[in-house]
Amino acid sequence: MNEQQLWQAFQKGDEGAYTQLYQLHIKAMYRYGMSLVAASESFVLDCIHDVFTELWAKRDRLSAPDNVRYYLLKALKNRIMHLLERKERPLTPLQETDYDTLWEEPDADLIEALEIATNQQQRLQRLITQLPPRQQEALKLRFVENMNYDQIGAILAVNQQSAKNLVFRAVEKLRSLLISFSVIFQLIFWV
Amino acid sequence: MHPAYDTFTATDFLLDDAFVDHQLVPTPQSTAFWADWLETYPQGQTTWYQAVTLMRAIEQGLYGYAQTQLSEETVRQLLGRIQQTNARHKPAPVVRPLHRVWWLAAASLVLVSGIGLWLYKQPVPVYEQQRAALNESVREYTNDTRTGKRVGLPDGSVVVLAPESRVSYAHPFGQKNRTVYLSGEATFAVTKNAARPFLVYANEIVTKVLGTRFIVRAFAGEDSVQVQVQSGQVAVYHDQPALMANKQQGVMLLPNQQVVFNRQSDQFTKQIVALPQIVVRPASHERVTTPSFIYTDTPIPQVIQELELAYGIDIRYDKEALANCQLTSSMVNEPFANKLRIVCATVGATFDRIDGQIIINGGSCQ
Repeated sequence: MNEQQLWQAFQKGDEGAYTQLYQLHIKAMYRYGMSLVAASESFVLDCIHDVFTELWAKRDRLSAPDNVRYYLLKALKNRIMHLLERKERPLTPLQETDYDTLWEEPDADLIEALEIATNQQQRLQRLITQLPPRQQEALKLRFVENMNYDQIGAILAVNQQSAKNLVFRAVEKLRSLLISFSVIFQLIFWV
Repeated sequence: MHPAYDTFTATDFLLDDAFVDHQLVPTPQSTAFWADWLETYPQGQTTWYQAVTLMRAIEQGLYGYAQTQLSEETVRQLLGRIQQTNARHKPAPVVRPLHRVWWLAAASLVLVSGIGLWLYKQPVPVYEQQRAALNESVREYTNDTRTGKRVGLPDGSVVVLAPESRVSYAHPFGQKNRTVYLSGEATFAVTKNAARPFLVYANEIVTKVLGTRFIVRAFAGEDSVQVQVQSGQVAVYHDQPALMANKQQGVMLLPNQQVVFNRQSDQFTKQIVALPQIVVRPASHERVTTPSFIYTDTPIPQVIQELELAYGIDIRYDKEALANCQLTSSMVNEPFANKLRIVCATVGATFDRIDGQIIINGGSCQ
């Protein structure tokens, strides 16, 4: 069965299909949830529990999504945000442009961190964590979850063009950092 | 018509869906397209390869995120919690759920009334009957916690009880057969003893093993019983005293297989488990090492054979159609279903799980 058929079967009350959907997406939901709220694993698991039980309860009223993973990640994010907003005022999401000025020049801390890193993968990971959180999230959704820009925009609550801009800025920033540190990274790049 | 790729910068490529999709999940069509384009526009090659390098760098930097670990134990426990919540909220057919402003509060109302109705209608669960019938003294273990509870049996076998589950056995244990009674869900790791078969009675099902690892799920309120095998073999059959003496009609399960017994229809359905694991084989005379699952221009029949061997699951496909197809991919750490998807995407095929096997439909190469 492909995912569309699994989803339809689940909507009709097929528990096996429901369980399969869970197994197919649980790890992706976990890692995405943890990337949003690193502090608490049990909180993320609670939210995933809530998403799935809500799905089951409302199964005959749902529409069939084009992309199940996108649907589940979005539902998870909504749930997380909903619960967080009740507990405390979260950092209000700044406009994307606010962050850019803070990351103009590679700083001494970054250079040191890159030299301490023991392999290329760690160095590259460190570069990515230099980016503003929403740019990092956009990169993960595009390059790991393979979502399109409509979907990324929906999850990040912006339009499709803004979603593209996030990825654009992230890629440009990484490119310039890799050039600045070309000796450390030893990647073949242009001038 | 595609964009003017010959005017693209490396960053432009990374924002282009056709380019990114090809890097993430290459297909014969996309491979042909880009090979073609590179030949037609040799001046664009440098930029294109820079884009590939940049993309690989991003993927490497996100590797830690992509590989975030989540233990199988946690996955199972969470699923158990979800299923229990769903079972409790099963509404009676006629009642319309309350319109929820805050759905948590409304759900707890449904919970209370739901359980009342359910208890009134349900006959005595099978587990209670079996336990009451034991004449000798009984050992029982209950798990009231929210995580798994480990129970050691006198023969050295280990039972890990899921939340809200119970297991009991007669004492002394294992004189002729090693028999336990289960209500709920548990994972069993049974010590090998050919002389004394290990029997798990759970609702209407009996699972018989010699020595192996498997999971049985049989809650009183659910309408199916499930048995899932991780290693070794088990035989699963319907517990009907009249038939048992003659022949036991049941199901033999191998690793990565599971059976669902429908308590209403008395039917067994054999399936592949939701998340097949690579099977660990005891030392045999042939050297069996786990394949690396990294392929470069590898013939697809070889890939499929390695998948079959690693997971112990039969995969049927059109050998003629796919004989000359090749695959280039790194599938390390991908779940079994994703490995299959990658193979199918490469040749434009689909797959189905039928009766404990994988059937690949269609597919061809250029």
